[in-house]
Amino acid sequence: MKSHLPQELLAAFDRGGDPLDDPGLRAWLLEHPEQLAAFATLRAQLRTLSGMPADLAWPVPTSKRPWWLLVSGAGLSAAVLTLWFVGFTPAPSSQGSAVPSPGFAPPSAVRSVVVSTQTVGRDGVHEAILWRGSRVQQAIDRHTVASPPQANVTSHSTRSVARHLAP
Amino acid sequence: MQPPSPSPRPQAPASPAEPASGPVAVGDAFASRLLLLAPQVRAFLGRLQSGGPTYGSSLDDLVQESLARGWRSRASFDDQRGTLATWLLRITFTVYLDHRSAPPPAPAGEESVSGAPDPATAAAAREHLRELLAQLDDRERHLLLRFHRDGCTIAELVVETGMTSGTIKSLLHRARARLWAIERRQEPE
Repeated sequence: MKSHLPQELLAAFDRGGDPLDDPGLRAWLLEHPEQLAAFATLRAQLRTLSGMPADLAWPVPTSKRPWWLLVSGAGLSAAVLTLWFVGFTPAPSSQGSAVPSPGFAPPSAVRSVVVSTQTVGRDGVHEAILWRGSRVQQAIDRHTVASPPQANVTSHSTRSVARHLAP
Repeated sequence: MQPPSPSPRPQAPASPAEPASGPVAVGDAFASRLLLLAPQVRAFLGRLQSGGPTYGSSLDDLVQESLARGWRSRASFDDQRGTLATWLLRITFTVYLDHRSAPPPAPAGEESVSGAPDPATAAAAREHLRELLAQLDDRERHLLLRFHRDGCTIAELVVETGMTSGTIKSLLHRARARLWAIERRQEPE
């Protein structure tokens, strides 16, 4: 069987119906008997096609699955694993925990926390570290570094920065 | 399609009515070669029958007639012109055409044997084809289904898709060629 179908065979099906109704094609096939097996296979395939149901779901062929889809899937899996490791946002405590932590990390994943204030006064912006805490041997070592200024304050904000445990 | 030009081809096979040249001798080399090709003949006839309307001839009858006609025509075989398999497939094709052009037999009792595939075989063929179709591009598959399954004409597909008839024909040709090529790759050597 040849590796390619000749144009005569491919075009024979353009008219619809059974191509063997065409005497010209029958004669051509008798002149090219080496194409008979290919013709019979294709004709049987297309005949079967006419009996296919209209509502079919087509599976994605494995050989045509794009590489970027696999890479995206791997990245998504890594992201899900990271989120699972970090955990969910803990419910806020009424009295506040010993270590303030950002909302996206549980306390068990926090290695160190720095709490600072930003004060905007008439003479400019001042930032002062209130205290710095770090986890040493599963305990919190807390140090107060400075106190926020009290005079000439027009606005005041507090922020916390947390460093996470390395995986 | 152009009528065939005269060329050195295998001679036309003998008609079924032609008397046999003689009894097949035990151990006849040619007969043995023919019998070795019987599975190939059977598979070829099976595809021909499943690809078109059948008129009641059983597959076994057609295989037997093809081999018998090949035996009677053995003098026309020239291995310098082609392989025995190709020569025999050509004879088998003429056998099929003869039965195809014959009028359908009158309905008979339960003893009649139909050449149509049984429902299980047809369902398996549809499932196999579904797997092949899944490997085509979306456009190729859509056009192939609309043309061969739904019976749309090229002109109707032009209106439906907005493509030119040349593009549609080209895509249909490519889809048919790919369908056949995928099938061929999956066939055992």
